Amino acid sequence: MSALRGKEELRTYEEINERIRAGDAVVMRADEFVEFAKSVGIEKAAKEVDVVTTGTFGAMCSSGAFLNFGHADPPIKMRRCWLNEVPAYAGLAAVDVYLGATSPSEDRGIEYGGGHVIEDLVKGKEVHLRAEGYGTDCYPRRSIDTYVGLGDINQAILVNPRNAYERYNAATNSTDEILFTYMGTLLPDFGNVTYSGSGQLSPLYKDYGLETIGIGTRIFLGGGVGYVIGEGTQHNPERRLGTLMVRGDLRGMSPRYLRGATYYRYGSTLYVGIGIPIPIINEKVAKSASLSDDEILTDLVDYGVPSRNRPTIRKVSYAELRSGKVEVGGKEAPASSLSSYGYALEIAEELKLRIEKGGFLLSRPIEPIPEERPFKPMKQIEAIPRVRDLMRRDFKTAKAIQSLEEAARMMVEGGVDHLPIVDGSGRLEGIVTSWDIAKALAKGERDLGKVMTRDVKTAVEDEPIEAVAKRFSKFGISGMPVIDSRRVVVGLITTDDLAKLVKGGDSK
Amino acid sequence: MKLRLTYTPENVGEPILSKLILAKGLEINIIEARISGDRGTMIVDVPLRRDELEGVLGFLKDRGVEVEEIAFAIELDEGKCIYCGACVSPCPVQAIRMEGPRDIRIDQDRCVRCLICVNACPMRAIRAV
Ligand code: SF4
Ligand code: SF4
Repeated sequence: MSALRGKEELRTYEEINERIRAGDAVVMRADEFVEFAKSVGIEKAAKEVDVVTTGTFGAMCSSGAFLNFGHADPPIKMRRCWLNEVPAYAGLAAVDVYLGATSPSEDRGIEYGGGHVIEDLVKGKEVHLRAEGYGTDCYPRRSIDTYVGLGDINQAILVNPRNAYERYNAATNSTDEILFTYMGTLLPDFGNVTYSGSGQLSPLYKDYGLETIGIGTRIFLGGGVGYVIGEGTQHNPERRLGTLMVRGDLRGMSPRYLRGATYYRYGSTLYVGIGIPIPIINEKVAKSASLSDDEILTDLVDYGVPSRNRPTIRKVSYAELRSGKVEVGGKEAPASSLSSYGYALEIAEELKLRIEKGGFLLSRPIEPIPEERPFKPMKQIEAIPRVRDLMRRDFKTAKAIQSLEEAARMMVEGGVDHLPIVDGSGRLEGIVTSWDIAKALAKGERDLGKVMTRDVKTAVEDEPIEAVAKRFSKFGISGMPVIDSRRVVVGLITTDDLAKLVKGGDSK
Repeated sequence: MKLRLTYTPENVGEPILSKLILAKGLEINIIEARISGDRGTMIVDVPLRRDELEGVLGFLKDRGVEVEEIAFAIELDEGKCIYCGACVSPCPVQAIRMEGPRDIRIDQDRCVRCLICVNACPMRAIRAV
């Protein structure tokens, strides 16, 4: 480790392993250590405890396995490959493939994907292997169709590019539609909150200074043994969003801790169980390991905004999330997790037992993983038009107490078909269209408040136009008020405005 | 007894439920209502005896409302469940509760059979039976 990090001031890895072999090591689960440090103080806790075990069990989409099938006779150079109809990447040597967890099957779609194939292999099931090649002088065969199990193939190595997020956003939904996301099912109008990550048991959070977790750290992976092989993709430790890249042999893993899963209308994935032992080598490590759920904060984010820059509503602690109730949108919403705290506990306990019994030794990292790493958004060459680029800012609004005639006059004079109805502070209450008014006048209605639609579809300034266009066609409407976070109307967007894009006129 | 009512463009504007309440003197609890533009579905809980059901069904059908009795139960497969909680907060009537880190319960009486949890469960551990 670098000179600044990983100082073995309280004990060395050799001393810890000596004690593990002798059966004398003092090991605690992270949740136990939190309580212990609270009662005896951090200094004493750091002196007495050798190792703190952590755990997490959640959907880790960036997971997959390298498989080598051995050679057929005559041999084939696989160009395309399917396992139980799930496409695997075959752009490697002849019979090597990488099977990604989120790859959907061609017959069952996202209900059965790469994650499910991995689970089936670990369960000991045979899977249907199909491949096509283009035929070469050395690999003449052009297709193969067979069944293989874990025992039949040469290597089956789980290599996950991004696992064990230090923490993750909590999600909610401000719109009036139910959303199906990678954060699960989000009810309309801040109807619920979902979150992920094991908080006080989270492996990376318990060593956020990356003092002990580095390249070569031996870990509990899917029930077997694995290793950290580097920082994970999108590793962003400065924002406490560190990630890890890990590898481990599928043989030796358990289907209890590797499970294929499906997020409704989103995709298939793999739930991965990871536990990392944190050696208490110095007080800094002890300090991060002692953080409790109420000290670990994350962002509560509005997934109703379909843009990269989803607005953060506020900070929320894992203690609040785990209480099952979170205040949002002026009321209390039920909150629940997507990852399993019960399994995270079980993994931390299992790892603790393995260490106590002498069956799991700790390893000193051979290189640290970066403490800082800029996280860049994708470079895009097309400018994505957003609502703010096309919406009109000079629009008329009316109050619900005004008469229909007044409203009709405003629309005719303004040459508009949509009139948002607002309260005294400009907040949206409803909308009327020229069609509504025509109908109402014919029926002899007088009262604007009665005629307006209260269940108004809305847009926000930051939204990509594409998302708005989808809503126009989904709901068969032609205009939406653009509102800010307080529901104050700041603009109006209509299908006519979208037409500007096609003409290429004033969008730039 | 739970009923699912489906309205069509022809009758969605009529106060059929109010008429039913007045005509039959029933206490009807509207559990869920989704009305968008020209059609809608509604799940209602009605304290009905079997022999009263016929009359209510007839009343609604005469007015063009489709009626279906919801008789199935929502069942949890403990072998598949990982106690994550992905089904808990999306339940619109909070019929699913987590009693501990490894304890999930579904309250059949509260449940309105909306099937949101069946889809929300990443492990496909919840079924309608
Ligand atoms: S079907 Fe599931 S989500 Fe719907 S009410 Fe019943 S328990 Fe709740
Ligand atoms: S979502 Fe499925 S696996 Fe998770 S707690 Fe509910 S039933 Fe169990």
